[in-house]
Amino acid sequence: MSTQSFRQKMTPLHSWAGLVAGWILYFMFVTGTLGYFDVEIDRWMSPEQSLPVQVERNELVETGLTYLQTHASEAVDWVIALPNDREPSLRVSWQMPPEEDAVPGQTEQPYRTQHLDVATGEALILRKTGGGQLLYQMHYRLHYLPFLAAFSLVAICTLLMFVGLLTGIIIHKKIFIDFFTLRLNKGQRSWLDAHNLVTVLSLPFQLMITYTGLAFLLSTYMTLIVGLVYGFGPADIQRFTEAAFIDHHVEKEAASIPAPLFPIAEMLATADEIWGTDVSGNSRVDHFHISHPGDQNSIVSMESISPYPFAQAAEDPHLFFNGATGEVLSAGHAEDADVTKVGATLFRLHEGNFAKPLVRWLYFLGGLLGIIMIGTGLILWSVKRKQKYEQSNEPIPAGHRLVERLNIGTLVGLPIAIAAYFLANRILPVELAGREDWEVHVMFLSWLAMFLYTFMRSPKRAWIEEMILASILFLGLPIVNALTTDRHLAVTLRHEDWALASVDLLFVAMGLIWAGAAWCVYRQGNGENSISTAASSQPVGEAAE
Amino acid sequence: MSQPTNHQIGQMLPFKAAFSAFSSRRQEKSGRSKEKGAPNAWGQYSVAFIGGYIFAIAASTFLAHLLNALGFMPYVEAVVAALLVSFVFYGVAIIWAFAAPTVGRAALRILGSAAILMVANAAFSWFRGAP
Repeated sequence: MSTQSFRQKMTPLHSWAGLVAGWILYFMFVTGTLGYFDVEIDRWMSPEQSLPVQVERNELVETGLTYLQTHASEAVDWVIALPNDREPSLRVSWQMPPEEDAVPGQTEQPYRTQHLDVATGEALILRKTGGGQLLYQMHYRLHYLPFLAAFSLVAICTLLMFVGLLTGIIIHKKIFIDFFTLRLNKGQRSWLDAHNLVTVLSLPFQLMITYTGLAFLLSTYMTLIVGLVYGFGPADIQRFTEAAFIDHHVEKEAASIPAPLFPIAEMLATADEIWGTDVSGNSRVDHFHISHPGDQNSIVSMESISPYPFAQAAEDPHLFFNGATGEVLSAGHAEDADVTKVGATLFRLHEGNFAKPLVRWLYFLGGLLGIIMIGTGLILWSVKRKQKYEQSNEPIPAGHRLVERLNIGTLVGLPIAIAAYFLANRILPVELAGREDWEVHVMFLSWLAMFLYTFMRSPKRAWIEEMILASILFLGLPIVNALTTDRHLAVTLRHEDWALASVDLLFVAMGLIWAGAAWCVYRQGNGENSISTAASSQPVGEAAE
Repeated sequence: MSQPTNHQIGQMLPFKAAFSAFSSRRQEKSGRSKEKGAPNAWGQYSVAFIGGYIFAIAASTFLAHLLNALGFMPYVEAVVAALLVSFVFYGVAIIWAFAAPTVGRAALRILGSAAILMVANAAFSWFRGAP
């Protein structure tokens, strides 16, 4: 072994990391990529929400305040989320005061949320759904597992992704030549070319998204560094946290002296002056809190979504107003240290909340290439070994058969399961108890069914049949949508509601892609080289060169 | 020797037991049982991932001390900076461990340098105290 070159030594590590983490990483990449459209998917899954209507902002604020005054006058905190490009709905939330017999330490009541019709101000009754948010949450906390177990699993897989990228770069010496190389219909060689091409093409994105993903894990898994410098007592860690992450929120206890609320419209105008408008000329205020409404110590805190990926000195995502007088109270983030801003920038780059449509689609494309990178890597693992067994006429070990079937069940089975999740949203009765849970159960039960199915068919048949099923489901989604709601393409396109229409259009695109994939596998399956037969006549290529 | 064979990769899988159970028939037939001098897979992965973690903590802490001692930034910022780069140290350590010719050499590299860094860290803490 010692005669092996540095590059060759990295090959087993790359294969191992990819195989161990590949399936979970595929799940993380699929749910994470969809997460860039979480708000749009939320809307698709709540078809009762209104279509975009232009209503004057101050009218919307009045509508929200009126609703909250009537239905939540006792609340300690009100929230009004204003419509924006991505989400043209008006949303109010409130938090009731702690119950008198509450257990100490658990006094906070959860927020309750109500969507209001933008045009009429009426309360909308939405179907119960996990929506795009739940799908996005699975990206980092999976599902059904306790939080810590899921988070640790995600952490390990993210580390292996990082190792996979680093070793991949080392192994792959002809990085620029292979950029232009894609040999089709050559069995293993083609899968390797595809894996290389996709990864090289999107390498900056994959490195960025993986390292910024790791940044979310620092405070959980790297606290020993803090301990070694500051000491390991609880007070020591707290000393660091308070100094490093300064809490800029302005909070006040209620004074129990009634005072009328200063006009929100004027505070919004002040916020627009301070923040300026975004490139489209829209206000940057996303939502605002009113704590202790109607009290002398009421505080109005406004939150913006930054249009920049980089945390800047002049950028403060929060603005605080004295609710009774309208006076601006603080602008805190400007004092943050440079390294803290670097950390904040890493988070922002990962979440992409700043991204306007074009950049958002680039994020989506990057995620898609990541999905293909992981998918082709897993297939390559399988094809490469199968080819060797067949050339040497050795029986294929059961472990390899298992990997092959897990590949089919994940690579095609997961998209099918997600299509089933969307379908369940439209088909499950609205009055069903625990409806939002059943949507998820449908998703994971379909996934399980797709795994079981692969064991009942030959790999080639399983690939083709599951791909056809995926295609039918995705192409069927816009049709089912049209039959069950009035938020289908004919309506959304006529209203130029691109955000909502793009979800249906994406389903159509997915359906066509899977149909094309099924056709390719079918045609190749008749020849010699495919993901399932892969008996190439050419000499076995070197693993990743 | 151009590439590690399937067989070697199979041996390196941590779930080797399960994997070799699946492929035991094949091994008998080909007569290639465990090669002499082949790296101990469990050892190599443990050194890389557990040893690498210890190395990453030690090196990041050292960086924090260094940034502060050289007057670049106060300790709070130095520790945040160290946190932000800690996974780079981890990734490099894993690769470094796999580049070693034997498991013993890998352990020596990773744990040896971690130990030296930890001594330096202890010295920093001793002379400068906790911030």
